[in-house]
Amino acid sequence: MIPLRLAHITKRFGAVTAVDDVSLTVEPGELFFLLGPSGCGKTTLLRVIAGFYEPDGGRIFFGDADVTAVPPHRRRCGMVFQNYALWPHMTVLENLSFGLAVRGMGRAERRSRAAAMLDVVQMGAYARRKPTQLSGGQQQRVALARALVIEPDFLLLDEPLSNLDARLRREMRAEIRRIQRATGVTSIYVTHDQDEALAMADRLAVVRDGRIEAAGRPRDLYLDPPTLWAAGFLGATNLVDGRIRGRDAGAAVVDTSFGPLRAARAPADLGPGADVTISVRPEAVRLLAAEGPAPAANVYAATVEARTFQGETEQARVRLGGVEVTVSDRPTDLPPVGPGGAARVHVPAEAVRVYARQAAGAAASV
Amino acid sequence: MRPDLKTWLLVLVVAAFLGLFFFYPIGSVFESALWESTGPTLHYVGNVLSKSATRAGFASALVLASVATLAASLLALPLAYLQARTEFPGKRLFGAAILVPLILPPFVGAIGLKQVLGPYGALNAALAHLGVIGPAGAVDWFRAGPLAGVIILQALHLYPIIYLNVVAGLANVDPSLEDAARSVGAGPWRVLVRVTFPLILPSYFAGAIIVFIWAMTDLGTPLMFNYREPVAVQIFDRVSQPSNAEANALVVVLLAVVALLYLGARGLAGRQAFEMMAVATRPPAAGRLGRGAAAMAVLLFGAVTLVAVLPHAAVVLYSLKTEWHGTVLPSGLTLAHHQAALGLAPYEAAVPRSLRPLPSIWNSVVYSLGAVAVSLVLAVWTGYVLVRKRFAGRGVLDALVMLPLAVPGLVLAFGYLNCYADWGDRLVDAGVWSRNYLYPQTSPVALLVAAYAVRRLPLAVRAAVAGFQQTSRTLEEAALSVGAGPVRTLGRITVPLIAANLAAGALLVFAMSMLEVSDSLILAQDDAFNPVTRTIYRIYSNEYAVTGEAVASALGVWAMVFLAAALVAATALMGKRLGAIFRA
Repeated sequence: MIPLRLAHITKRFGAVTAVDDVSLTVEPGELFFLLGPSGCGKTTLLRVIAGFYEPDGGRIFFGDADVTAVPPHRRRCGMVFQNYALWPHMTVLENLSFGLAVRGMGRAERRSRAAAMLDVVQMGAYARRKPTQLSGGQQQRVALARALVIEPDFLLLDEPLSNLDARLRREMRAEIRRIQRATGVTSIYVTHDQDEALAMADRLAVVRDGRIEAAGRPRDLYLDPPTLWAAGFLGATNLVDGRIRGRDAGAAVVDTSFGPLRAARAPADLGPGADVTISVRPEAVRLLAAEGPAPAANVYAATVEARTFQGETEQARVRLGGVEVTVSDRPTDLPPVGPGGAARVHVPAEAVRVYARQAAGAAASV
Repeated sequence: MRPDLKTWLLVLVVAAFLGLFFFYPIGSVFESALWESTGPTLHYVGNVLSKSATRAGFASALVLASVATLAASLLALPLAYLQARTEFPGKRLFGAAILVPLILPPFVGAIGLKQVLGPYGALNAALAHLGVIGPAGAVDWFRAGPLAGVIILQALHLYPIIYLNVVAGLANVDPSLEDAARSVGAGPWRVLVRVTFPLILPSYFAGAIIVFIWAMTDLGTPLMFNYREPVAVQIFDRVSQPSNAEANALVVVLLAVVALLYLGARGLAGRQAFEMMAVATRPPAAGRLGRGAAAMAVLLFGAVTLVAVLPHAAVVLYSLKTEWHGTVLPSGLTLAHHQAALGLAPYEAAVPRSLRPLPSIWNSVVYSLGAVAVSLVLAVWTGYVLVRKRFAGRGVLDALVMLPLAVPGLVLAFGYLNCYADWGDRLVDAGVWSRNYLYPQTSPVALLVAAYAVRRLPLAVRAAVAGFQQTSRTLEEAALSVGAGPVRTLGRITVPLIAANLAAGALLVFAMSMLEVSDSLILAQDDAFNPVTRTIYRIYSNEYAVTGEAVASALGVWAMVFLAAALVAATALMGKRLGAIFRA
């Protein structure tokens, strides 16, 4: 197994720069995600890796080999397309055998390998069907098998689950993860769905306007996003403007419209007087009853504005000072305070992230 | 996108073909008509236009085309409305039957129509039989001249083109626009006139202009009536003098008139083309007709179809007659004419041996297959480049390949006569060729194949483009990603997927080349190289052949059998999408 390395890849379409100086490395055996909103260049980047687009600048390395000028059919990249792209004039088995025949493999060998791979994706019973006779989920499995049966160096998946309904999508997430682990193939997966990326990825890169905004393990990126935009794109978050007053025992103290707030970790370059935006995830914020025991710091009086029951979780919109904040918790853990009622909010200092304030519109909408 | 060498190479080949066999010949017509040794001149054009015969030729062609288009519109519009907006029993079947006349060559139908409407023809016999006219009161339906016969055949042949366009236009009208008119109080008639008709006007114009130009430049039908007035026939009569600047001037004037008409109609249609602001959210409602109205609809469809196939039915009967004179149906039947046509029985000694029918069918098959091969290869390349590549000049290429549709075959054939004989002579002089293969008198094969291929190229390209558009690019990318090279991908994935479209395109090119008239009559000048259409014309007009008309009919019947078989196969392969080619 070999790593994949992109060095300063740039791809333009006319005046539009779809991929802008992207460098990254995918380690052997890894399931690596390219996550971003539509139009961010993530699919373009995948197609550059597959060889369907020639980059305008930069190099692509498969292991030590520079494949920048290698045509797609010599790259040994199995690809799963968004629309599956199963050949409608061939049976399922023929779809799988085609790539093996290309490699000059004998008929018997082709059949046994294709059949074995169909078993891996649990489609062994459908070998003689035509793709049009399969459901969306079944087509998805065949497309995956077709890409894997050639034992590619890299498996490329382009929004593979976006044509499936929500239930099937969740099922196929686990299935793809299982098959990827079983085959150990180094994989690059493109999606716009952050839940999918967070749930499945070994590592992921958040792509924005053709550039990599942030990269790392899902847990690290979600809990400690390096940029405000990444924080907003990776999940719901509360953003509050403030100004740094000073430092106190390693924590930064930020003045906000509802009072001073301690942030356990703030970049050292943000000194007293710096304008900042703080970000804190709704599930990190605690809603407390108006009376009773409470932590010593970062507790504020608040008014409940609205509550939204969502089954697993319940959200409360609360007003504290001049700002509105969303709190998310298990329904049983929220105090029974209705709209208009008084409550308190605890913002744990270690859940607060601090960013230098940017021009309006810099944060992703959530 | 960066220009890609392969793309440009493909474009270059297509452009070279069009340049050699389309633009260069047409250019040579212009050169011959508009240039003297001293420089540009309008002398010849002026000369041509000052002749009363020329003016009469244009007048007759315009009258012919106007009346034929009007008649075709009157036939097509009610049928199209019924088909698009109502439900009645047998609608699909009648909708298909109504298209049959489009594939029946009017050139052949002329023989039948003359038999039906002649002074001793079937219609007079039927009227006499019914006691409407006395035995001596035979009406000469062509008393006013052969013009009526030409118009009848053209209208009956061409109305399906308007019908197809209007049906498509009606299907695209968002029904909510009509509902809105009804909701503000407009009655059905007012909705039709004030809302529906203005919206489908562009579709109507698109069909009507094709019909108009077709009728105006048609050569075969007037020839079969020996009607020498229309400008197309006048040009044909000057074939013997191809280098004559005035003959070329006449071609240039014709082309200019066609171009003006075409642009005028496009402008008119364009000004009227209302973008549907809302995409039709549901198909237009098809109202179920009451019993009486449904019967009327069935009757109308049936009657139009019957009348339209009548001339050709008469041709079939005529080819089987022993005697058909003053009776409704032939008085006796024989297979002799068919045997003669197919070479199964010796043909009259009076007819030159070189005019034997069977070899000419074979000639046509060979030429048409050649045209299929050339146009299909070019169409696949062009279709591939047009659909799969993005490059500057793509729109230009698209327009260039479609251009031959707008240029009458007559013009192209004339250009070939102009410019290729010299090249052939030079190659003979240089000792490369022993014979001039680019001169109709010595060998018209290359010129005929090229003419057939160029003029049908737009149909083949549209068929290929449709195929590529229906085939997702990712199917090819998937093959590349599992390691198949571009050639294997083309052979195993792309071509099998668009095979039905290509086959349909090939059959259309084949069928339409088999029955091509103007290029065939002009470019084949030695009977040994005759395509079947020229043999039909020659046998038909040969005064020594007593049974010539019947044998020509038999040959026409076999040509139609070929055509019908090809089109049935094309329909089966391409299904409903076939209509799209005729609307291209």
